[in-house]
Amino acid sequence: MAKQLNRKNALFAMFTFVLALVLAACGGNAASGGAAGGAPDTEKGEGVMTYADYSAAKVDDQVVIEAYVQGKQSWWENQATIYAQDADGAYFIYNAQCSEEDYAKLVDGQKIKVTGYKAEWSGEIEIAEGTIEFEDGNWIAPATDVTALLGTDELIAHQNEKVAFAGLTIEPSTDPNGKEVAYLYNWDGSGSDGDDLYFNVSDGKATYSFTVESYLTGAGTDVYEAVKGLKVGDTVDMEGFLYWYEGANPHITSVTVK
Amino acid sequence: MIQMLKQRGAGYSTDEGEIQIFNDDTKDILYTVAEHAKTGAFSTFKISGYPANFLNAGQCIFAIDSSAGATWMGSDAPLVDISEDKLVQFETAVRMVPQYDVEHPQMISQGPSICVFNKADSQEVLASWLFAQYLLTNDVQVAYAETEGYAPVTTKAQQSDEYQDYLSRAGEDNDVHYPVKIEATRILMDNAENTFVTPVFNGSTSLRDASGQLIENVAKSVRRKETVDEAYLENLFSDVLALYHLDQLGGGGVGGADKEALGPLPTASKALIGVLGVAWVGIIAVAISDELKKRKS
Repeated sequence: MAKQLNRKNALFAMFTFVLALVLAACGGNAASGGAAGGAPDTEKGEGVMTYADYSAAKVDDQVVIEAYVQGKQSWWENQATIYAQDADGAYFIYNAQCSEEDYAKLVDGQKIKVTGYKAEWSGEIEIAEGTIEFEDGNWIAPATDVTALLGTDELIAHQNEKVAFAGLTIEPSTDPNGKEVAYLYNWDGSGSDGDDLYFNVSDGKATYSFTVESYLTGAGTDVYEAVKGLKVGDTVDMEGFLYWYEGANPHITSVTVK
Repeated sequence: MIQMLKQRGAGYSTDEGEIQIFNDDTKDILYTVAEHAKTGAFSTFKISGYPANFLNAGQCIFAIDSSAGATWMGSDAPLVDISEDKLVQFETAVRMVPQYDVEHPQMISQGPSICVFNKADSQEVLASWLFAQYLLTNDVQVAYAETEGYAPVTTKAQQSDEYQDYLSRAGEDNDVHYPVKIEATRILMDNAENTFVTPVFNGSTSLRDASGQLIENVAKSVRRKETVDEAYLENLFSDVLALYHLDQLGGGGVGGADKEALGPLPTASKALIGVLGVAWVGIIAVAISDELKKRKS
């Protein structure tokens, strides 16, 4: 009798263990794309473009994409501007139709489908006048280190992606009074606290202009305050989105002084 | 759009806010926009970017912007957003905005504005008014005009020795005395009597935005291979009318029913006007006193 009970207990324990493993595996795959840090879907829904199709589309063509929100820039009068990315590339979704209620649901990682028009504004490729549909899925893209691509023709292939820069040096900017400073409020120093921050960085070969976009990460955010604390000569690692305005104009979302 | 309608003697709005923009002249203008957008010869800031960036890269033969935008235009412009390797060398000519009738030019006059709002704290209003007066001083007007390319808003500043000297030094450098910028300002000042402003009434900003939106929509539609015809324009008029609530403005405006709705001037406002009057009397008195002392010595 005792032997039978032990066997039953062992069987029960084994069954429970296996069931737990199965449930854990199913729960991990239940949300397609996986939890934050998991893999994005590579299969696209019906009528949805691959990133390659999107890239090949002409400006002013209608486009349909699926991607995962990586950052929200702004909401105003039922229009939202968002950074999104899929497994193969990134999208800047400009002034898509979006209620304030839906905007709140556009958390980082949320999978969305966007139908809009491909547009190009001063070199920045974007999806304009889009509509957004929520889909099941969640993925946060890792930042791609593009430090070595600065100043090269290859950098533009990563436009709008979440990117990282390592070991850059803060170079001086000149304020309206001719003084050398580590950053400016607005591109010309005409602004004040709360406005965009512009600062120069060097990779030892050339100097580039980087931005903290105040709508994306404004006053009070860690990166905004960190940039205000920078000094000329600091060596920094950064992450951000590779925005484009007549050339690379990264919108930085984090700064670490080494 | 507003300029073209004015040049054609076509309706835009009355001073009281009656909306007149949805007319056959507007349609005619939009057909012209469609024609040139279709060939890629025409685009707008909202669609493509700053006109100067395309001009300076040799991608268009002329660009239209404000007198302040002139600071960015030309091969030697002091302010440039495109990379140096994209700059094309060319000689820049400055002209007034295109005209339907060159003998009777009409140019819109607009730019940054200042409003002094009524507040519960009359001291705030007084401080705002004093600040506005400071902004109107020659020092501020001339300095602002020299860096930004706008004309000073007072004839006193325009005629000041400092500003006249600045104008006379066009071409001395490609910075403060950038010739394209100064030439644009000269054209404006030489044609002050040919400029116009649009009336201000409740909803005038919406109408202004709507007039631009008509051009934006037509240009985008053409680029997206849509057909711009009578049916399209009728729908566009209807959509823009609704989008900007232009059918709800009621033709009120500054001089109309709104004034009755506001009622008599509040006591605080009357007191503030009195204080402002006393302040001016004081300013004039001090000025006279200083002048008298100067003559005595």
